Amino acid sequence: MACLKYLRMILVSFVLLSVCACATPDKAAVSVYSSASNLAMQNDAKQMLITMLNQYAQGEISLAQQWLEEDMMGRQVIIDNMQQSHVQQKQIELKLSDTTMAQTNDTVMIQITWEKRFLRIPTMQAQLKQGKTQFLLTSKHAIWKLVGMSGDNVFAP
Amino acid sequence: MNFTINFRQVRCLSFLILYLTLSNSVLGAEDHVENTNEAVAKSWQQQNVGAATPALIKQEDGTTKIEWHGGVTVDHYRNTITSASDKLGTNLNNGYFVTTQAQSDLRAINPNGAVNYFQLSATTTDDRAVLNHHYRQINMMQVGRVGEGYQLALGDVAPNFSNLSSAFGARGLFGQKQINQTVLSGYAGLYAPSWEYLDSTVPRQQLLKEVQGAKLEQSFTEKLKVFVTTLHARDRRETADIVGLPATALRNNSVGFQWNDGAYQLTGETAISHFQQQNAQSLSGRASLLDGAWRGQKVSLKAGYHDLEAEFSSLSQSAQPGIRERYVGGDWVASAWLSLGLDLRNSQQYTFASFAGAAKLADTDSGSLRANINLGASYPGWGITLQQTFSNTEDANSNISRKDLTSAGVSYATARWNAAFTYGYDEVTSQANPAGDSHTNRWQASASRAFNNADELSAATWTVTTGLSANLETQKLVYGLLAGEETRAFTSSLNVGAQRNGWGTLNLMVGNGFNTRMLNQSTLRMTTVQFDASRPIGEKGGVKLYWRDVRRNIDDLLLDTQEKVVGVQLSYQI
Repeated sequence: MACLKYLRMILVSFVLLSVCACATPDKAAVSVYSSASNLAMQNDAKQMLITMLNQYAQGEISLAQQWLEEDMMGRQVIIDNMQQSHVQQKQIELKLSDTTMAQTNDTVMIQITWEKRFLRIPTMQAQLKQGKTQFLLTSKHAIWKLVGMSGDNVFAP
Repeated sequence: MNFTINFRQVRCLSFLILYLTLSNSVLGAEDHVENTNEAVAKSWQQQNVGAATPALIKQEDGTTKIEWHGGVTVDHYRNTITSASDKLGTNLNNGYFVTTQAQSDLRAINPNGAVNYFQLSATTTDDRAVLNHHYRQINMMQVGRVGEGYQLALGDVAPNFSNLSSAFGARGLFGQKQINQTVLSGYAGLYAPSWEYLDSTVPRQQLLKEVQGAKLEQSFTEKLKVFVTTLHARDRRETADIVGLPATALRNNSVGFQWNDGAYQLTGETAISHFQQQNAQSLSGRASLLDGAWRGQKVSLKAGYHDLEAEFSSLSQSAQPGIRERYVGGDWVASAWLSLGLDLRNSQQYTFASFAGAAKLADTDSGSLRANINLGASYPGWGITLQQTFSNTEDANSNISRKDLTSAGVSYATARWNAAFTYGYDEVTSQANPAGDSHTNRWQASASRAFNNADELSAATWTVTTGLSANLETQKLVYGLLAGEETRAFTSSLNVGAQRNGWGTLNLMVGNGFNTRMLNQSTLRMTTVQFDASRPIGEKGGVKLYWRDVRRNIDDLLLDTQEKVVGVQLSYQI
């Protein structure tokens, strides 16, 4: 029920903003506005993230690391984790669920719950890891890059 | 309900909304008189480097334009799952399921160009593999207004003030106002994994965190911007299902600059944080970073230095406490057929210094050298890629880990043909974990061909694509009792796709593969078949049939898993 309350609060806010807009004098026939949050950008960012995770699971580490922003803090730690886990984990399979997103301008935060199944070298014993990770992505010139992540490390060996 | 709204925040933000709205009414008129559209656009671009180019909206008839985009997809599918190791083999469940996803983006574009919008994305399902805890979830919800030099958003917002302060997702209010060369931004809300988490529909495993932050940014010239940020965060006590979780409080302040002179870019920031956990000693930390880049016609260079103490805290998902790293790199277009790239990086990881151990966890030197060769006019469509990567890590106990990765590839691409072959050789050794020391050979090959009826006068109305790919990887252990033991992993796939305007699309993928194991264990085999066919219904609707049959580790007593999914998807785009 509380969700309905939030929904109601947001709808009321929308109406209030519309009223404010109507109260604003129509002084400019031409105006400039920044990029409003939009679903297409969120879908593009999510698709980039899924592509990167698939490339990692398939062992295409050099392709996966291209999605990491070059001046990203801790970039080398993530790449090392990717490479090390690929050596020790075979048949990596990632299942994603409970995806939520947030956006402001060209920044999208995607939170994903994941389950990682793999066979560990040398015994090829099946193992399961679970976690929840927040990925921060930004867009420069319509190309999405990963600039940060927090929570559980999906790339950990 | 054990959660209450912080009305102090809401009241402050309400005043902020009122101020921004009213100030827009007053200041906006002056701005419009003094600034041309180009000047405003340029100014906005300076304040939002890298963001999408501002759009010009002209409503000739003076009316408000309403736009509604979105769509609904309904999936009805049946899972038939067998797993020798139950949930260790798959997270899918047996049975019939329905998953519905809806997206809505309602916009009102006012005559003055301001946009009001309301976005909602939600999922409902009875499949616990899609939503783990509940049958419905709000994926994203936001209401907002964007106008000339200002912006307001309420809901799922992602304030990205700087790398060392606030760069994360929250549920709350975000506002931004540009007054001449000054931009003021602020946010307030709650840090929680989802809306369902807020009302305890799903289990709460952590405390709710109240967050507030602000950023003031001033442009002194067209090239130089300076900013200061501040943030406060505080856990609400006893808001988690786990009793006794210690509450924390965080303060963080930073100052930074951005210099952008076309070819030259330089950014810097320094921050200080204060973190207090209930019944624990407080921690203060510092962090600084400096990144620079230069882009010439044939050469581009970049370099940077990041130093974040282990005690440093922030609400930035970019900031990794306990990192000290420096990097330098560049790309050089040496000729029309050759381009080279080099990256070198030193990265040190730290933890809290204590009597129990050293503060430094690891010290890594890494680098990569790459070359792209375009064989150009002599051999049109042909290219060669070479790459060498290394990484040397020394941990706190002076154990050395090394990784050397070498790869070479040749590719061919024309309008209808694509082919590639890559070979790679990796050496990985670690004194800390020598059981994983190994040498790996990798081969990858792929080829695809497209057929269509396009000609010089008209575009294609139908297309058929076919593709073949194969990967082989052999990994040989080089340490201990298993030295000389080898595993091989092979996968191959055949893809066929067809598409005809007005009819729809059809895709088929057939794959198989195997994994050999050490110590004379049996080989693990796998097969995959995927098929889908979709057809439009009218201009906005569509139907899709899909079938997927994946079998892994066939006939292995412990690992055999099969996932069969058959379903139909109906979609409607608004």
